[in-house]
Amino acid sequence: MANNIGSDHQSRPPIRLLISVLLLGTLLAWWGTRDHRSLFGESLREPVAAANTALPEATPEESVLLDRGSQISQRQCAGCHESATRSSAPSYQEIVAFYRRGFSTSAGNWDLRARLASAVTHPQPGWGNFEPGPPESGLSLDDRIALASWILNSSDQNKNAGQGAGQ
Amino acid sequence: MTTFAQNLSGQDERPNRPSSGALPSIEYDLIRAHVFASLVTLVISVLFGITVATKFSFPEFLGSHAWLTWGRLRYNHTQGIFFGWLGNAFLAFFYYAVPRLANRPVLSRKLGWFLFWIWNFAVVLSGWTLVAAGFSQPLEWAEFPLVVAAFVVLAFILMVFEFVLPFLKARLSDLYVSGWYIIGGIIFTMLAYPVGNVVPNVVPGARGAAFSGLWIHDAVGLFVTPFALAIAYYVIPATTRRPIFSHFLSMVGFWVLFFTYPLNGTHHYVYSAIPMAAQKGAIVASAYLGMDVILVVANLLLSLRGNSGTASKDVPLRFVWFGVVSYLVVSLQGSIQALMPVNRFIHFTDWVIGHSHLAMIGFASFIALGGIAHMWQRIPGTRYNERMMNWSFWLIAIGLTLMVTDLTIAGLVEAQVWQSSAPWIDSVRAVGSYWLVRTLSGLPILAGFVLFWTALVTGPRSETVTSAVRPVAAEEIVAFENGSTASQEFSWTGWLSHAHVVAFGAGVGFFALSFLVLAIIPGKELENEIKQVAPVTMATLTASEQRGRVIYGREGCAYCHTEQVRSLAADVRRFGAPTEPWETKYDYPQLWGTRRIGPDLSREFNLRPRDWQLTHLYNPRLVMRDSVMPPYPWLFDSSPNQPTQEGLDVLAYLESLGRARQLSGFDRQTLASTVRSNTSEAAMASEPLARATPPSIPIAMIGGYSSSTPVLHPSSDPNGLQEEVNHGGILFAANCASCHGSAGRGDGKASASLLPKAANLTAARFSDERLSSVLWNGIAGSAMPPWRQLPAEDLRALVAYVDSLHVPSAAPSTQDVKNLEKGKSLFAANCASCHGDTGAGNGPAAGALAPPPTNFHLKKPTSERGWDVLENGVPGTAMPPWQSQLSADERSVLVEFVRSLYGPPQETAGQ
Repeated sequence: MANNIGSDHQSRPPIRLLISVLLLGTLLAWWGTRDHRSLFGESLREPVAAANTALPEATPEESVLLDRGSQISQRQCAGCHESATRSSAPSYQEIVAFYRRGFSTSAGNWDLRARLASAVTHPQPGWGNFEPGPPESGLSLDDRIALASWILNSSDQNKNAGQGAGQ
Repeated sequence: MTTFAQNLSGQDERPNRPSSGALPSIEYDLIRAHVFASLVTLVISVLFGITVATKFSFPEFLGSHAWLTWGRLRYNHTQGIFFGWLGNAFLAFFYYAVPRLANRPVLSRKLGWFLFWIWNFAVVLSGWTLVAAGFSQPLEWAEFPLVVAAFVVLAFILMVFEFVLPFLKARLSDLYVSGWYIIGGIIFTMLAYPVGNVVPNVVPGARGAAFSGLWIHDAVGLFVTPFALAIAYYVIPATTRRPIFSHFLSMVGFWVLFFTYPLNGTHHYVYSAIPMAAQKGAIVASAYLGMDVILVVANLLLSLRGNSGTASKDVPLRFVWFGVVSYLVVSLQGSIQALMPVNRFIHFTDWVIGHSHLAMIGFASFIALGGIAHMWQRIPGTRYNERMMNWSFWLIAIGLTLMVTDLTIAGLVEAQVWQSSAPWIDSVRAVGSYWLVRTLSGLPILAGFVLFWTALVTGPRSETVTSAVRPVAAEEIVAFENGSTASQEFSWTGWLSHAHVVAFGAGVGFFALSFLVLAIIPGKELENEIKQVAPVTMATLTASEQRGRVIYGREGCAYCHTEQVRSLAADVRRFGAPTEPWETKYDYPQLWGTRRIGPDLSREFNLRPRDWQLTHLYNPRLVMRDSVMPPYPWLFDSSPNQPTQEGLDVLAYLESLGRARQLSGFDRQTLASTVRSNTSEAAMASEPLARATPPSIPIAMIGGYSSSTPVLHPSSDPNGLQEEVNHGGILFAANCASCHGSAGRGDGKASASLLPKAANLTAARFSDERLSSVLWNGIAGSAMPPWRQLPAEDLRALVAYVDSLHVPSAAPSTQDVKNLEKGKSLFAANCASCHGDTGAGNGPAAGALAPPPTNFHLKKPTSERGWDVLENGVPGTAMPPWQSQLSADERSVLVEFVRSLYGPPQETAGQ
């Protein structure tokens, strides 16, 4: 039995085998975790949690918009809506989560803001089993966009603040 | 023999290392007892399996006893294989190998017998009995109730004392690889088993599923795999008398395996509501796991190089070789089927069943059988019958190959049907013959196992047993050295083969890591999301629904019906909106399921009428000819009309599924707009109209009206018409005859318990519009479902066939004008509030009625039928009997009037 004849060479093939196998595994893992839904002509939303990625920072010209949105929210919305807790109406975070569904992250914030702006008039009353909100807010389109921007921004800030506190 | 000599001399510092034959004692009686128990439970479990498989082809086979039903036998099949067969086989091997590897006897013989009794009587036997009696939990690989689970945990703790302690005490500097697998496997399973069993009972829904998923894979990955590999790593060098190919590969193989296996579990729930990061993490781990198995298997097979003669001569080694090759195949298959683009198609299909049989028979059972046979030749007083053993190998190998090939193809067939818009039952019909082959393939496997057993007891008795405890033969030990050159080269890794490092690193450490990464962290994330999103008013299950849920679990419903819609277009189109974590807020334990033989049930609320549900539960073939679902007559008092409280509970539970979502208004968001209508699947539809339903709303049996009903006119050409009628007749027999009767007289098997009864299609003339509308939308308030998943030409053929059922009466009725005038006034006075002024079924009260009142412009009842209805009413609808209000004359005038309405309405009041 020539067991120790090949033993000097035994150490090298295992390492080569290990490296090539790990490379192959990486390739498989990379291919297998990409979202292939677009490949099959689908654009379904991912589960909500996966879609929650950070929103971009507000630009300077947006800050005017945000101030205005903040004022409107204080004046017209604060009676029912709060930023993170459920009261007689859904929280802003919840609202953002609700309307974010269906938007891939790459679609950006703008689509979502437009969607939220139209949501200000409570077009789908009753989701989440809340009492329907008032349908006519008397707000102009600009006001509603400002409000939507503020909601998006504040829900994002809340999230960041939470993370900051954690660190 | 130089290597062996070197190894022996190099190991002198080992404590208790004997230089002569004075070796640790071995408990031969316990080995024999466990081998015997393993084979008894193996044969019983396989019989369970074959019975279960037979029920796919003959659903009524042994169908009327609760304990012989599909669900309960399936629980006992898998748990019997897991605990009874593999558990006993592994225990037998531990008694044989641990003293040799640790160089010390096992802790105690008494403890061993105690363990034997616990394992076989407190776990296997009582588990089987309790499951058969209806005390089980619907968690995969944890079906035995918690009482039994407590004994399992006790048994694992005892195993730590019995088998791990000798290793820890021995303080070997260079433990052989089989020892690592034994230590790691026992410690890990001892920790993972209670988590997989208990946590899903106290943590609901999606969060519980994250834990369940981990245990499902840990059961295979960290109970079955390490012990089977321990046997393979033992038998190969012991037979060839040569050390294993590479110590380095053994080490990498072991540590990567124990690191990646525990991280695999969530791949059973790809595209589910569990956070995507956890799903993807599990997929990455699955990919690397398959790669690691290449290393392990290469190491084992390279150890056999130059020994092909031995492998073909020595039957135990051949068993092990087959197991090792299967291990490679099944692991690579596993890696690939976990990848998202593959998983989306083959998940929930028979492909996965083929995969699990390849793992449990091809890999684990073959190696365990090899291990038993190997031991049998080396235990005093036992030898096997060589010829029978050889036959046993071939029978099992052939049966298994047939089974796995068959199920893999069946899985692909199912996947293809599920991607189309064909009705669910088509996927059942498509694989019927594959299921029959699968059952038949179980027979050679069973014969092989029985033959194996016979081979063990009919072997030549060359040696008589002198004492129960005998010393180990000295020369066997020499093969279990870690290759000397490799150990030198990688001396810095030496600490990785210490028993303590294995126990605490691979066993405890990786266990904690996997549950933290794949269960606790995603669970927290889910918990937060549920807190934010779940409606405040979301109702818990009522007491009846909760009881129904327990029965649903007990009868194994979750093994054929998932309760989770994945976020994939094919799923959404078929069942409705994807399951969200908050919907599962009150699901203790989760019933998501990992297999779909029947359709998903998570959107059952408002989908089907109660009479249909009960009839279907009593015997599914009453309403669905080709269904393979088991009947549940013990939930009824001998008739589908008389459910017991348990039957009502199940019904209540089924009707609660998806309720929270519908009531919360979540579906009112514009999900339809986010699913593009021009999906690739849309191309499969026979005509664009087939896509008219918004994808987020499943095609409900009641109330799911589509505004875009096409009117299907049968062919005007007589030859074409005849062809359509023939085709329609076949379709009618397959889909409609169970309710409407084979001749369409409304006297099918199910008609007795449906209310309103299935229509007698010969008793009226229906317009094409009416038939098209009914086929497209179903009839609200009745058991008539919509059939719009069928291709348009099939629907047209059905219209043609139903048209052909009506034979116009030869003598035209006398429609005298005066009578018609009288009929008109009677109609206006008595019928118009529901049937409308013009008889178009659109009276002021019609909106509230389900089924809606008949539109007489589209349906012309025969005189007999009209007379019958006026006399008796239509039970199950709002149509009352008129016998007491109207005289016989008035009624006959009314019948004539109503029959005169058929055809387009005079005014355009219409529909």
